[in-house]
Amino acid sequence: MWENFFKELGFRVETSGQTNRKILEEGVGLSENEACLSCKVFNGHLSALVNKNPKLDYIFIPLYKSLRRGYKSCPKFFALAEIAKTIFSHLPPILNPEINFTKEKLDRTLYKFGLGLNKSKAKKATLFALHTLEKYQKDLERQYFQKLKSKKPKIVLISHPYNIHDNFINLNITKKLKDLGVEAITIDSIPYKEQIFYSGWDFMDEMIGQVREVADQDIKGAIQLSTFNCGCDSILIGLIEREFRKAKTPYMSLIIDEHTGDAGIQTRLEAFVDTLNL
Amino acid sequence: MARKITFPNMGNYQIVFKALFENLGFEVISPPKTSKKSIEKGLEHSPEFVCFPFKVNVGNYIQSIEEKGANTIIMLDTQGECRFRYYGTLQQKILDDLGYNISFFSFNAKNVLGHLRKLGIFKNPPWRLVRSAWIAWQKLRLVELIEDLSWRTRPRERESGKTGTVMSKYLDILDKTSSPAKLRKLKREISKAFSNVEIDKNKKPLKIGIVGEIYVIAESYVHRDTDVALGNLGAEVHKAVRTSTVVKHFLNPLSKKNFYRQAYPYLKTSVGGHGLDSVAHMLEYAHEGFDGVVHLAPFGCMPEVTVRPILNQISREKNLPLLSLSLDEQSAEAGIQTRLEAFIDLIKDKKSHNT
Repeated sequence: MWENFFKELGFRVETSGQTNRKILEEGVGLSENEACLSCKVFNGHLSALVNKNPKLDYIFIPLYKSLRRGYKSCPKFFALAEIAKTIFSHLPPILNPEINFTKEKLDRTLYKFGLGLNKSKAKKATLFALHTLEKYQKDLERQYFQKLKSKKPKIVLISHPYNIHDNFINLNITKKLKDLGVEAITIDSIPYKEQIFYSGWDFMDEMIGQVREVADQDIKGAIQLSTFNCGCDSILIGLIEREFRKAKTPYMSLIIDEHTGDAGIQTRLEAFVDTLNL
Repeated sequence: MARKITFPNMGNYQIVFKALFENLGFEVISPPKTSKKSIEKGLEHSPEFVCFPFKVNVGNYIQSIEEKGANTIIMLDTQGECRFRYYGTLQQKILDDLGYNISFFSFNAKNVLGHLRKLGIFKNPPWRLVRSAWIAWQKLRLVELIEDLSWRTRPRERESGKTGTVMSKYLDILDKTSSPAKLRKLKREISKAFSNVEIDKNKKPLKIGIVGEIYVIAESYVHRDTDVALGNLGAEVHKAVRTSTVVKHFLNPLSKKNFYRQAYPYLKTSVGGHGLDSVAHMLEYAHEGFDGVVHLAPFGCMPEVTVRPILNQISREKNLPLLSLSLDEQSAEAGIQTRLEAFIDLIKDKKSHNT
């Protein structure tokens, strides 16, 4: 979505690419020891981006404050740009728009942001961005309904989007599950009815809603993938494992850090899938 | 069944919570002092990676329930941005799963009246409610007065341990004092008792500011008596984040906004918990000419880990030595003592080179 937004505004867009060992190690080296793995990965990507492209005009680091009206996002997101300025001595100017659905809808935020960059193209860029986002969400939903029809045993994979779609960090878990003959439904693809369960973090009530929605389907197991020192997950895991306990669905949580080996995860997945077939 | 109210331990503020509820007619079960034993059950039944204060709370609850028959738990939910807002929610589920037959009240702005009604607080006439709040506030101020005086006296005391004795004595008396009149008299007694401690008037102690997460700063078991250790090393301690400050900011949001503005050049955004406070307080300490800052936080604390690089940057740019301690169940007192000694040595070295 963002890539299309900026391209429509007339920018050339460079990305840091997929996470790899170098990015991870660089990020770990730059970050606080106790920072969550995801923040370390972020810093690694920032480093890779800046090193690959010495002549950038801007770096885009949005401030995700609230992705659902009345809720807040993970507080680690809030200061990413400001902390980046502490870690890196020289950075190109940072574009740091606040994405806050409690304050205003996304279309307004995009439009105002676009106006500041390229007045004449702002409206078109906004519409294109929103269209891209909508298409992406519809695609995910279509995948969900397709997977529901599958004859293979279905497992729901629960994690934050930046883990679900990062095959290096998640140790290629979706492929591993596929190879084990399982249909892995990712939580972000599940449509759900917006309700207030616990309030607070936007992803909290979203995930609880998605978990309750999918629990009514014929799900054989649930795997929650978390990363080291994710503060949010330390609470979320406690709540989600109880949801599955209530639904009497087998549940497993995995915590991945920078040292987690492929073999270890493979073993745990095999063991878990084995228990499902009993 | 009659309510037996308990709450998490929080350093000397025990005295305040106890007074508040006793004056409202409740039987209060003060949680036993936090210790290695009391946190065992907390560690066993809490999620492995949750922040340390959560585990300490759970340990306190279980001990109060099992050893003293507490059946009602009072907790706070400030609805902030860090994990703390979910403490009550998850702690209640943990206690339910353990099969305890208790009531759990997690107070926030939305449910406060409903909860108070359920507890039966409104059976008290209004004058009693006001009186109870007033006494609690006075006790809070006296707790902090005793702490302030102890931090000022300890580095200067001629007889090692005297400050500690006076402090324990008056905290105990404060706990047992009930009326506003007696509290006023006690304030004078406390000031007198501390000024009677023999001190070396020529000593000029180093001034060390403590910033960080409010719970670990208050709870002496968690920070392994860092403030006492620093006092014994000859340093005068100041704690930035106090319960009274939180209450003042709550009652006057404008004062809070002005306070945060101080952090601006280094950090504009809130990061949850007391992260932004740590930055603002450290800048205050730099401005006021403190000799060093000790940063206390639970291991993995989201807000404090976020701001740690900024605190380090302030330390470099303002030439203000910083010691950042990460605390959890594995923190050893000896290890902390060693680091504090090295820190004080470093500051003394730096000072002698500058003169």
